[in-house]
Amino acid sequence: MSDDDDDVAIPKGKLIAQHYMPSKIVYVSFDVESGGEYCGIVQMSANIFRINNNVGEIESKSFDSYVKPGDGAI
Amino acid sequence: MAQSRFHSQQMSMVSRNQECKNAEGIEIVWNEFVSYIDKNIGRYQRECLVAWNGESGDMKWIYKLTQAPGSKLAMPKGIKYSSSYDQEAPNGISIPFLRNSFLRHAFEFMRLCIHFSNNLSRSAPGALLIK
Repeated sequence: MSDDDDDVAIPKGKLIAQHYMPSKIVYVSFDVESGGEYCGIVQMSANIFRINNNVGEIESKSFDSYVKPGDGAI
Repeated sequence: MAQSRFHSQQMSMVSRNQECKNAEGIEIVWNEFVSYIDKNIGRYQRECLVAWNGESGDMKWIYKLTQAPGSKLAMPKGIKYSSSYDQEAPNGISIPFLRNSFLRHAFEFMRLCIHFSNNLSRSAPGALLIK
């Protein structure tokens, strides 16, 4: 599979047909904790996982980081 | 034994407090997130961003950060699709939305096992699904 595969015409309703093979599609589960509208994001985390034949595999290394709110945060 | 556990919890809190104090701004953290994605995804793999949708969901923050008018940050290049745990298409996100991309078991797996920051410290009810 090459990067040019993105340009291939995709049949209607088959958006990920070309990638929906074992280990071709990777899911990034994304989560944020916020302090509200006037504070913004205070923590961001993400996990990468793959699903092959209905079995999930989670990447051992996850992303987890605190965020310093902006100067105008309330 | 109990005292030791209390001590370790206390040390964990102190460590977390230090992390909070040393936290960077959103621009730097977002760039770290992008490089985390780039490092862990193969060249020919395609990424699907999965998050909670809705009024106070995470997709709204992604939109604000990367897609809203005037936003300075960019979505990682490898992310080609998006999906949400509640299967509702997010407003404003320009990445193609995948609906019904997994079977019910996969959704159960994600809800039970994936995430979040305290995931490592909690027991996973769906542990049988993990290899």
